[in-house]
Amino acid sequence: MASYGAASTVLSVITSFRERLAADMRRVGWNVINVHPDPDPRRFLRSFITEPLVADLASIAGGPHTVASLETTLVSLTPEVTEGVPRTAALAIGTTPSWAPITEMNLIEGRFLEPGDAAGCVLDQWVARKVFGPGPAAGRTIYTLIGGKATPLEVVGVAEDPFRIRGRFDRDEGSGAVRNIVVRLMEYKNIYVLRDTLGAGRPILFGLLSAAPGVEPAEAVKGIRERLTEIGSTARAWDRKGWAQRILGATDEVAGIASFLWVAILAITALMAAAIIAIAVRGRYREIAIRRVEGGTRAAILTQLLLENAIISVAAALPGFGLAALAARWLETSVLGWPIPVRAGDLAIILASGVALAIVTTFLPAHRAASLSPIQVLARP
Amino acid sequence: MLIALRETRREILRNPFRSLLVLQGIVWGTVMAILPPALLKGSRSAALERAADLGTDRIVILEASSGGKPLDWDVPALLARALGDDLRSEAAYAHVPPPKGSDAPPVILIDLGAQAAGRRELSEGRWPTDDEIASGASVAVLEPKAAETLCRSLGLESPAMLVGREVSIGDDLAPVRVVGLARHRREASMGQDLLGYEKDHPLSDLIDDIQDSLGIRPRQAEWLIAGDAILVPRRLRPEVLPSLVELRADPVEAAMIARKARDTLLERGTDPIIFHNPIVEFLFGEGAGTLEKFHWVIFCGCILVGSAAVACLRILTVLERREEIAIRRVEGATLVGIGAQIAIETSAFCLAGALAGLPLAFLLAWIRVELDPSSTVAWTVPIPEVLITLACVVFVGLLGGLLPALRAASLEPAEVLGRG
Repeated sequence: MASYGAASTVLSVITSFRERLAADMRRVGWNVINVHPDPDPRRFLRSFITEPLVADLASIAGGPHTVASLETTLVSLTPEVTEGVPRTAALAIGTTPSWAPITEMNLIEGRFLEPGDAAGCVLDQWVARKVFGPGPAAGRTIYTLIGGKATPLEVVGVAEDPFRIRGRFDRDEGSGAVRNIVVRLMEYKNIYVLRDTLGAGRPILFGLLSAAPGVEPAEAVKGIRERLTEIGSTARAWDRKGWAQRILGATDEVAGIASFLWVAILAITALMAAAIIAIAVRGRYREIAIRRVEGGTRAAILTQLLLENAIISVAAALPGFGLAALAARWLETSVLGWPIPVRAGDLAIILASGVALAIVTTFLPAHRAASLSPIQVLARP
Repeated sequence: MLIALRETRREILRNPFRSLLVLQGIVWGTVMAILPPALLKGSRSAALERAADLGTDRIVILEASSGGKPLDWDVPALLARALGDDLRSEAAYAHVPPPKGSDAPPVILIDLGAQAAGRRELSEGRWPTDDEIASGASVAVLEPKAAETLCRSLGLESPAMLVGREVSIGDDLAPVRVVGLARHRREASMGQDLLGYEKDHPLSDLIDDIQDSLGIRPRQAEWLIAGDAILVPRRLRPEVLPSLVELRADPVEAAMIARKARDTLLERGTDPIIFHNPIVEFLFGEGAGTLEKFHWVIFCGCILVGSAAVACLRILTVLERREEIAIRRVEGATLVGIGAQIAIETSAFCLAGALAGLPLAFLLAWIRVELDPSSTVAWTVPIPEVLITLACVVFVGLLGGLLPALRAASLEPAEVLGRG
C-alpha cells in the first residue's frame, strides 16, 4: 500500500512537472528571436549591436523589431535605504513600446509603456509580488537605483509571469543571481522602462525580432547568423521556440531518468513481497496437496495462487492511491506550489506495473507448490 | 538476549538471499538516512577546511557591459568599508595581455592586498613591500609559467636564477626587477577552474555548457588562476583601470556577501557581474536544510514499510518454529521470555539490514562524488546520523517484533506438541 502510494506520488509529480513546464514554456513568445552581443569579453568588441543592424536583421525575419539597454537595479518602496527594508534586485530593460507586442506579453494589470512614459515602468509579476506583496501594483510608485541614483517611477502595468512553475522553489534573491545580464533577461524578473529613462548613451545590449507570419523562427535565425558572419560580427542570435524546445527535451530526458524511481519503489517492494510469499506458500503445501487430490490441476493451482496475489496487490493499490492523492495535495500546497493532479492514466500504469510485478514474483513459488507431489506432501507428519 | 542473537544469525545464514530480499526496506531506508548527510557533511567540511584549494571562499567581481560606472582601484577599499569584518581580504587586478603575436607573458597589475586575496605563496624571493606597491616601484613577481617562459628565453638553468634580474614588461615601460617567484598552485587545486570544477573530468564539458547557458561561468576571469603572468604594481601603468576584483570571505557567508557587494556597487553606479561557488550557496542555504529534513521523512517511511515486511516474515517464522517454542515453554521459559526473544530477534534482524545498508550508502556516496566534476562535492561518514539510524532501526524492529512475539506467546504447548 505504501509503495503504491509512493510510486503514484512520484509519477504524479513527474507528470505534473512536465505538463506545467511545457505550458509555461509556450508563454515565452515562440515567434521571438533574440539578438545580443557575445557574452565572452574576448569577442564582445566584435559583437556590438546597433539599432540599424537590428533593423537590417529584422528584414530577414520579416516582422517588427526593437532594441534594449540593460542594467541591474535595486527596487524599493522608499528612496532612502533603511535597515530592515528589503530591496529587490531586478533587471531594468530600457526599451520601446513595441517590446510588449513583439514578446506577446500578457499584462495582468494596467498597460505597457507608451511614448512619454519617461517616469513610468512596467513590472514583471515576480518583481511586483516581491515589492508590493499580493496587492495591486499599478498606479503605485517605486524607487529604482539607476546609475547609482534612486529614481522614482510610477508602475503603469504588471506583466504576467510565464513561469508559473517557480512555485515555492523561487528563492528570495532569484534575480539577484549576480551573473550574466543577458541570461537573466529570460528569467522574467525585470522592470521595463523607456530607453531614455535608463539614460542616454547606454549601449544597446539586446535586439528583439519577430518572425513574420509563415516564417519559421529557426529558419530566420539561420539567415540572421549568415548575415552576422558576412559583416564579421560575433553577435549571438537565437529563437525562443528552439530554446524552449531544447529545455523541454532535456526535461523529458530527466523525467525519463526520474521515472526509474517509481519503478524501483515497486520493484523493491515486489522483491520483499516475493520472499514473504515464498514462505507463505510453503505453509500452504498441505492445503495445496489436498486440492490436488480433490482433482485440482497444476494449472488451476498455479492460477489460483497468482490470482490471489494479484488481488492482494490490487487491494493494496486502492488505499495506496488514496495516500497518493493526499500526498499530492500536501506537496501541491506546502512544498511545490503547482497543481499535482493524480491522473487515472498514471494510476493505471502504476497498477498494471504493480500487478505484473506481483504475478512475476509469485510465479516461482506458486509453480513450485503446484508441481509438488500430493502424496509426498501429505505423507509428511 | 544471546539466544535471540544466535537465532537471528542462524536464520540469516540459513537463508541469506531470502533475508536480503525481506530486508530491502530497511536497507534502502538506511541508505536514505545516511546518503544525504554523508554528502552534505562531507561537502560542507571540504568547503570550509579546503577553502583555499577549492576556491569556496572566493568571490570574483567583473564589470557588466551595460555602460555603468567602471570599476576602479578604490573599489576594494569601498567594499571593505561596506562589508566590514565579513570580508577576509580584497584586491583589484588589471589584466594586460601581450600584444598580438607576442609570446611574452601577460602582465597583471596588482595593488595592496593582492597576495592575501589571491592566496599567493612564494617559492623564491619575496613579495613586493607595501611601499613598493604604493609607489609603483619597478619590481615584479613571476607566476610559475611566466618564470618558465622567461627562464627558457634567457637561457637560464632554473627559474630561481630570475630573482634579482630585470625583465621587460613591454616596449613602452622600463624593465622591472624580479623580487620573487610565485609557487605553483597546490596539487589539490591543480586542474581546477576558479570555482573548483575539475577541468579534466569526463563531465566537465557538460558542466561548462550548463554554466554557460546559466551565465555563471567566469570565462573572462580565467587568467586570474592561469599562473602565466608577471605581477607588477599597478602604478606602473596608472592609466589602466582594474578589470576584476577578488574577495575572500567565509564560505558560509559567501553568497550573502556577494549580494551585499552587488548592492554596494549598484549604489556606486557600477553594474557588476559577480561569481562565487554555486555549490557552497546550496550547501549552506535553505535548500540543503530542507533536504536534510526531508530525507528523515523518507527514512521513516522506508523503515516502517521495511519493518512491516520483516514482521510478516517473523510471523511466518514463528509458525515454522512453533514446536521449538512449545518445547522451550515446556522446559520452563515464560511467556514474557519467549515474546522478548522473538521481539529481540526481529530487532536484530532489522539491525542486520541497517548494517547492510551502511556500506551501500557509502558506496553510492562515493559514486556520486566521483561523478561530480566539482571538487567541492565530497563525502564523509556522518557518525551521529549512523548512530541515530541504527538506534531507530533497533527500536522500530522491537516494535515490529511485538506482533510475532504475541503470536509466539499465544501458542499452547500441549496443543502444538499433541498434534504429533
